[in-house]
Amino acid sequence: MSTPVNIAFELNGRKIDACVSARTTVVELLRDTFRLTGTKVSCELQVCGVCTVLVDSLAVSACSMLACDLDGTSLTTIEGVMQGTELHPIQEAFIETNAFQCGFCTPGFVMMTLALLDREPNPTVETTRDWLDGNICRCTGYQPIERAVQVASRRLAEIESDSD
Amino acid sequence: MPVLPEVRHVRAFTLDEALSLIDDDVVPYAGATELVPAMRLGVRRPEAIVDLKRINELGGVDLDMATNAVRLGAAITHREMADNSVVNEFLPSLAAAAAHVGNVRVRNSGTLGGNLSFAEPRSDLSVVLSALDATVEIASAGGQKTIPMKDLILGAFETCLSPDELLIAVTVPFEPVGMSYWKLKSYERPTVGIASLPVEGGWKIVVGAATERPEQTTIATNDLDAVDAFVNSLDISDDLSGTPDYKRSILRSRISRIVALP
Amino acid sequence: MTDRRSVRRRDAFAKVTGRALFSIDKTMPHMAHAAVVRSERAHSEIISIDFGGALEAPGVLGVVTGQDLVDMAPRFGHIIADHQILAIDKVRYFGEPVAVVVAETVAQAADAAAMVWVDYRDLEPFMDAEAALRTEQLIHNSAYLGPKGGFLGIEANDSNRSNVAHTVELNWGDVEAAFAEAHVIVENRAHFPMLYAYAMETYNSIADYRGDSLHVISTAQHPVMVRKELAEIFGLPQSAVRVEVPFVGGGYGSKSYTKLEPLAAVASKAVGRPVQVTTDFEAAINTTRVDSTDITMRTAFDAEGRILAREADIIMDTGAYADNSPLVLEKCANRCFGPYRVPALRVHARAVYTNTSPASSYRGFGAPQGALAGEVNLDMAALQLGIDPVELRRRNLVAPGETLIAGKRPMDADLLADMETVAAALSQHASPEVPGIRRGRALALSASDAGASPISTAMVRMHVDGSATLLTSSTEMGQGSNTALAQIVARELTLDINQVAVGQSDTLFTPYEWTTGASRTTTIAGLAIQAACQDIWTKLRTIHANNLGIEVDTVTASRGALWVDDVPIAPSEVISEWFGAPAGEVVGVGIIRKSGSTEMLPPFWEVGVVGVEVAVYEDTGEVVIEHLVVVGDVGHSINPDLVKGQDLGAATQGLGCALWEELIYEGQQLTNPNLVEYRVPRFRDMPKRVTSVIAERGDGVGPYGAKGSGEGALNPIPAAVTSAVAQAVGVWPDRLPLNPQRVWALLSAAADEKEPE
Repeated sequence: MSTPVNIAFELNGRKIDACVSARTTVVELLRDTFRLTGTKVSCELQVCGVCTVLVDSLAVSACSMLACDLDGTSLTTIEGVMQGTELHPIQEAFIETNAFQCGFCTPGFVMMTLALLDREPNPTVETTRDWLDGNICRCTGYQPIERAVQVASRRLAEIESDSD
Repeated sequence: MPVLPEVRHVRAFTLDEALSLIDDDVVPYAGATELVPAMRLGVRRPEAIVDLKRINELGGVDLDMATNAVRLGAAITHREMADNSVVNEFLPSLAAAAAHVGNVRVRNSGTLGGNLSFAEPRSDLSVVLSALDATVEIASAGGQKTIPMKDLILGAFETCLSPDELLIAVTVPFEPVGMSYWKLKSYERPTVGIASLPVEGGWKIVVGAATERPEQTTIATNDLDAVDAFVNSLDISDDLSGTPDYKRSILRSRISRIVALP
Repeated sequence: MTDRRSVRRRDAFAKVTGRALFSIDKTMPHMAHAAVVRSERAHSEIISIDFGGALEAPGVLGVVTGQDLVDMAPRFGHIIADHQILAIDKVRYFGEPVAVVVAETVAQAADAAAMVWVDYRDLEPFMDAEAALRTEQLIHNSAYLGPKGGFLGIEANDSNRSNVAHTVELNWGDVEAAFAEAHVIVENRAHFPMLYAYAMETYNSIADYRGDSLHVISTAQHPVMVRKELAEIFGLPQSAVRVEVPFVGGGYGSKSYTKLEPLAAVASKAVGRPVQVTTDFEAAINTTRVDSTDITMRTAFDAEGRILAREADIIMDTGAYADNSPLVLEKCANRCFGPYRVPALRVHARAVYTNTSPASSYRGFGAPQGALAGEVNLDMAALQLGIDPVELRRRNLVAPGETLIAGKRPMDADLLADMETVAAALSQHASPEVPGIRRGRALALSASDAGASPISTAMVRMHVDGSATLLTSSTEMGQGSNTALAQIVARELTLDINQVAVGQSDTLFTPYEWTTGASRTTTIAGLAIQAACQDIWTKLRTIHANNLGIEVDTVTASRGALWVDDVPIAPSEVISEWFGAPAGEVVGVGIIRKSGSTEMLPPFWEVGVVGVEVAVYEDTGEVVIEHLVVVGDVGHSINPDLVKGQDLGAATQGLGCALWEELIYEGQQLTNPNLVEYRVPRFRDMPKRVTSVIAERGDGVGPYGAKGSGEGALNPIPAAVTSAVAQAVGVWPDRLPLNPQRVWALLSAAADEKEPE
C-alpha cells in the first residue's frame, strides 16, 4: 500500500490541507481531486510542458512531481492567473497575437511566460527562446507565441510605469 | 503505465536518518526528475522512496579560498548552480552547462546529486566536472569517502555507488582560464559534449554524451594524429541522434580545432 | 495594420484561462476507468488470456476480452471492416488492445491490468511492405474482408489472397509511346517515413452504454461518422447513439473516423457504467500513425521540358488495419503527379498491410507523400535539362479553367501567379556566404482534390431579440471554425459577431456534417450556413408578409432588416408580431449536397505553393530554415489571421516531416514511442524569416469566393526542403527525414564522389 502523506500547501492563494497517496503526482491531484483541469497531461517526460505549474514561483512539470512534495509550498496553476475577473496581461497578449489554436498547450505556455516575465521583465529574444524551447506546440508554429511574450512584456512594463 | 506503482514514502530530516534507510529497495530522491519517469516506465520499482529535501547537510555552496575550490551540496538544483554568484565567478563553465541542462522546468527540480547518481550518459555536468577534476563525497551508514569524479560513473546509468551509499557533495577546484564546454544538441538530449582546458604543452579533453561515460585524454598542441587516435579509441553509441561515424566526425573536427590553438 | 476580418477568436477566453474543456477533461456520473492490456507481439495467435488475480483485485469491475464481443459486430472500419475492437484470435501489431480492465480508479485498473498474462503462439511478423508483399502468409483472413458497400466509391478487395488492402490504378493516354519519344527521362525514388501526428491531447473516449442507447464523449473529428459506426456495431438506430465532441486538442486528420470509441463502449456494456479509456503517448502512437510510402516516379520530357508522361508506383504501408488508408491511397495517386499538364499517366498504387501500428490519414492526405516524389523529380529534371526549376514549372502548370483530372472540376486556382509570388519572395533575400555553411533554395507546388464530400447541414436559430445561434457538427480542433463560421452568420444576418453563438459537434443537437477535415469546413459548412441564413430571410419575409397581410414578393430583406417599400423593420419585431409576444424563434436550415455549385468534385482544389531557403552546416549536418515562404490561395479569407495560423502551423508540421520526424521499428516494436526520441518541431526551429501571403481572387465556390485552407501549406514542404538540401549538398536525398546524421552522410557521399581516384 502506498503511504498516505499529509500535506499543507497553498493552492492559488488558498490554504489546503490534504492527505495524498505517495504514488500520486501533482497533476493527478489537480485534475482528479481538485477538478482543476486546466493543467494537462501529454508526454509525461517533461518535454512538452502542458503540465507546467509554478511551485514557489518556479516552473515545474506537474506530471513528474509527487503530490506529497507540495507540503509547505505555494502552488499556482492556470486557474490562478486571472486577476480577479480580469484576464492577466499575458493572457490578453496570447489572445491578441493568436498565440494558440487547439489550446491544449496554452495553459503551459502561459505559466512559462508568467515565470519568465516574473524573473526577467524584459527578456531578450535569446532568453525567451531558451525558456520556451521547453514547451511544445503542434498547431501554431510558435511565432505568434513569441510575439505574445513580447507584447506581454511591453504591457506589463506599461502597467508598472503607470502605477509609479 | 499511466500511473506510478504503489510505493511507501518516508521523509528524512538528517543525513544519518537517510543513510540508515536506503538500500536496494529503498531509493533516495530530491527533485524526483529522474525517479518519477523511471517508476512510471516500470524501470524502477522501489518498495519505498526517501525524500532528502529536508536534510540541511545536503545543501549549500561553500567557497574555500584556502584550497581554491567550491563545495556544492548534492541537493543543489541546476538552476541554483546556474544562478549562484560563486559558481559563476569560479566555475563559469559549470554554471553555463547547468544553465542548459534539459529545460527550465528540469533545471528547477533536478539536482546535482540526482543527475550524477542517475548517470544518464547523454548529459553535460559529468563531462564538465570530470574536466575540472572534481571530487565526490559519498556517505553511507558505515562512513564517508571521497573519490575522483572520473571514478564515479562506470557506464550507462551505472555508478560505483552501492544502494546504501549517497552522494552528498561535489568539490570542484576553481576553473582554469581557457576552459570551455561545447555541446551539439539537435534532440532533447545532447548528441556530443566536449570539455577542454589548457594544460602544459597541450589540452585536456573530456568527451561525453556520445559515450557511455565521460572519457578523457591529454593531447599535445596540434597533434592531429593523437586526436584521430583518441576519437577512434572511443566506444561511440549508435542511436537516433546519429551513427558512430557521424559522431566521430564531429568529435574529430571540433577537437582538432581546439588543439590547434596554442 | 490588422485586417478587420481578423476578429478575436471566440474560444480565446476559454483557452487562455484553461477553462476550455477537452474530452480528456470530461466525466460522466459514476464513471469507471479502464486500463488496456496491449499486445507485446507484432503477429501472434492468442492461445489464452489468464486474468491472474485481476478480477479479484481491489476496485475491479470487470475484465473484457475479444471473447466478450457477442451481440455486436466485432470489427469496425468505415472502408474495410477489418479492425477488431479487441483482439479475437490473433494480434497484428505490437501494442494492439488485447483486454480491458475496468475499475473504480485509474490506479486500480492499471494495477490489475499488470496481472493479466497473455500466452501467444508466434507467427512470422511482416514489419515492412516489401516483406508483406513477398510472403504468402496473410495478415488478415479474407472471411471478413469484403466490399462494405463502398465508401466514396471505394470498394474493398473482394478476395484477400495477398496482404494488399487496396489497389488504385489511374491511367490515361499512351504512356509507352510517350516514354519512347522522350528527349529526357528522369526517375527517382522517395521514401516518406512513418510519422506520428502527435495531437497533444492523446486519444481518449468515454462511453455510457445502456442497452438501447449509447452516449459517447470523444476527441473525434467526425462525430457523425463515429455515430454511424457505433450504431452499426451495436445494432442501434442512429437516433439512439449520441456522440459529443468538446474542444479537440489537436486533430490533423489523425482523429478522423473511429478509434477508441468501440472499445470504451464495449467496456461500458460489460460493467453497466460509463467507462473512460485514455492513452498515454506510446499507446496513442499504437492507436494510429501516419501512412508511410515508397514511391518510384518516372517522367518523360520533351526537349523544351514539357511533360509527355508520368508514371508512378506507390507502395503505402497501412499497418495492421486499413482505417482511412485506402482513401489516402486514392488521393496519393491523384496528387503525386502534381498540378501539371500530363498527357499520359500511369499510376499503380497499393496499400499493404504490415504488422505495425495502424496507419491512417494525416494532414495532407497523400499529397506530401506524392509531392515528395513528383516535385523532386521535376527539380532533378530541371538540372538535367538545364532549365530553371521555376521556368520548367511555368511550362507545365495548368492554368485556371484547365482540367487536371478528367471528370473532376477544372483547376480553380491561379498557380502560376502564386508561384511567381513565392519565387519573388525567395529571391528577395540573399543570405551571406559563410564558410562551413552551404545554402540551397527551392520551391514546390501541389494541388489536392480536397473538400471530401459536399454533404453538410447547418441550422441557424434567430432568437426573438434578433441574435442568433448556429448549430453545426463541425468540430473545433484549433483551426478556428468556432469563429469563422460565426463570422459568416454575422455577415449574412448583419449582426455583430457578439450576437452570434455557436453550438458544435454534439450529434444530439447539431445537424449532419460529413466530416471536419479535407480543409472543407469554410467552404462546405460555410455554404450550408449561408443557405441556412438565406432560409431565415425567406422565412422572415414570409412571416412579415403574413403579419401585414400582403404578398411576400413585396417584402425584401437587406442590410439586416425587412423592407416594404422603403420602410425597414427589424427581425425581432417581425418575430414578436408573429408569435404575439416577445417569444419564439425562427429556425433556418441549410442543406448542401452534391448538386448545384457543389455538383462537380472536388468542391475546390486546395493548392500548396511554398518556398524554402536552407542553410546546411557542413560539420554537423544540421539544417536551418533561413526563409520560409507560403502562399495561402484561399479565394476569400473569412478571417486572415486564422488562415495565416493554419499556413504557419501546417508548414511547421511539414518541416517536421522534412527534417526530424520518423517512427522507427526495430524487430517487432518501435524504438522511439516517446517524445524524447520522436522529435517534433520546437520553438528554436522557427525559420529565421517567414513570408506568409494570402491570395484572394474570389475563385472558390465557398462563401464570398472562398476555398479551403489547412493542408496546402504542408503538402509541398517536404519536397521543397529536399530539393533545397540537394542544392546545398550536391546529392539528391531519396528519403526523409533529413536529420543531421542523414545530411552529414549525404555530404560525405558528395565529398567521396568528388575525391580523385
